Amino acid sequence: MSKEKWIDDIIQSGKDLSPLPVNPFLATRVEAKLHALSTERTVPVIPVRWVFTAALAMVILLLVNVVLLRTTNLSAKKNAGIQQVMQEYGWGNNDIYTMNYSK
Amino acid sequence: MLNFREDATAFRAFIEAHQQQVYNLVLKMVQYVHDAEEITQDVFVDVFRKPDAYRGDAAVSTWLYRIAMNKCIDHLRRQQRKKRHFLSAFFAPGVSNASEEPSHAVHPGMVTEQKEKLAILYKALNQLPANQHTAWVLGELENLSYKEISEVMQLSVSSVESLLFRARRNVKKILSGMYPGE
Repeated sequence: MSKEKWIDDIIQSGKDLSPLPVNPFLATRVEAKLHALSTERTVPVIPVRWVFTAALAMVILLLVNVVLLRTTNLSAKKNAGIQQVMQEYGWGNNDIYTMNYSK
Repeated sequence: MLNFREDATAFRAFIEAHQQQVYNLVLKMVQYVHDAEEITQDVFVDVFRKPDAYRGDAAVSTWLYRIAMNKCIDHLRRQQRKKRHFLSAFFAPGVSNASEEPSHAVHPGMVTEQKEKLAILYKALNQLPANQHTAWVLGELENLSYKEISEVMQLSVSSVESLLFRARRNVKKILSGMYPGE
């Protein structure tokens, strides 16, 4: 088959379309759609910018909390040994005139 | 003036009088039965909700055609955007072959041996710009006159002539690239 004949055949195929029957419930569906649209509640839309800002604020807050918790634990761990020695020798006691012999 | 808010029976009669024409036009544009039904429903929803849009300067059928074609173009654009996003997101960022996707749907009102040819035609039509696609469907598939097409598309008759000329030339060009004998 020549190219021109093939192209003409393809174009002709669009002209041989037979009309199709419509869904018999089309009118009912249109009415249902209209009813749904009339009873539809309009949901207030929050601007994306506000949602983004709120999310960012929460993330920053969370990060600050995590950082603070970590640094507090670290400094407590760092001083733990010194605290123990001070306690054992009673160096933590500022009262230099009273001798504590109970230990 | 078409105002059906007070008369549900008249609205139903209006739908029944025009549904066949609108549905078959939409089906020729979008090819999928389900999509065509949805768009046809939306056309009549628009008729009910915006009766003032009909100014009475053209036939009601022309006005319906206009609403239907606009909805079809919006639908096809959405489909192409969806395909483009899907493809670019998962396969090749920045590359889109949406218009070259094979047409899987074939108008159901076609005898089996012609379905393959029709699929090729639709594949070619989907590659045309929206206004040429519309002009082709109205002129070649719906057999509307230049004047009727100009009323639907709100263009001058000479613009429609040139649009159809370009559409025919482009369809032939696209089809010649698809010829299996080469």
